[in-house]
Amino acid sequence: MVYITSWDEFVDRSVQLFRADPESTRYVMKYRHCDGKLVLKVTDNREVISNPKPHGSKPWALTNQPTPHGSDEFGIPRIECLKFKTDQAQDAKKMEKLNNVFFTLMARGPEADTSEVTGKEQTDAQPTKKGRGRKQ
Amino acid sequence: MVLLQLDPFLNELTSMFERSTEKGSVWVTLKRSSLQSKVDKNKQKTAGEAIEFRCLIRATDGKKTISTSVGAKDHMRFQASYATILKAHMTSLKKRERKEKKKAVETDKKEGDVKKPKKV
Repeated sequence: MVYITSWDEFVDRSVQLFRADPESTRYVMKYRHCDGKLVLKVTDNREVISNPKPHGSKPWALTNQPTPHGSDEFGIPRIECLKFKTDQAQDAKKMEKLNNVFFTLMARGPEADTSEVTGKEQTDAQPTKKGRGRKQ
Repeated sequence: MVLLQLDPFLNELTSMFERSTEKGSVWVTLKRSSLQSKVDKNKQKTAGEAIEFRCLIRATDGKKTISTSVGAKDHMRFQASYATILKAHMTSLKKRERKEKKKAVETDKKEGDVKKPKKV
């Protein structure tokens, strides 16, 4: 299974995958305390055919637009399974945001506005920066 | 699989995390679902009724599976408690290595600037 290494790519493609087929896409989190590992997976179960291409070439990394379901521009069955793996605590914080995005999308619907959820941290971060200078 | 109310689910999820600290994993799955069978959904569709979707949340430790669901009204509260539980139990992940001093962020920057020319 190919893991996506870039968090932003994982988030973008996960949301894209969900929006393409909201009713059959699931988002799974696996946490293994003894190994200190966290794995996230998003899949719609369409394709489980392994990718015949070597790791280096990512045909899907080229476009932001969703390609027709089940195949990429080369006509090879696409794996509709996105995985991200980490052992870093900072990624767990990022995951929290993604959780909120998915809760919002799934409970409110694929058209729901997630900018509120994702933008939260930015608005939160600003006041704390200002707070640095305060003297009490 | 047991469909629980929100709070019992969160409690059970907490104990799943506690039980799996030495070995084992915890899986949590989120999925958009109407919690109805396909037959019912089709009936509703043909009747022209809108299907209500909720976010189904399932958790398992490999032995026991629990589930709950949240709708548009209550997902905010749930996701906050869920985040708290995750934060409290995902303690074996690695932290970034600069926790010696709280000022580290600023001193790091300064040191970084000084060190770079030396290395070159």
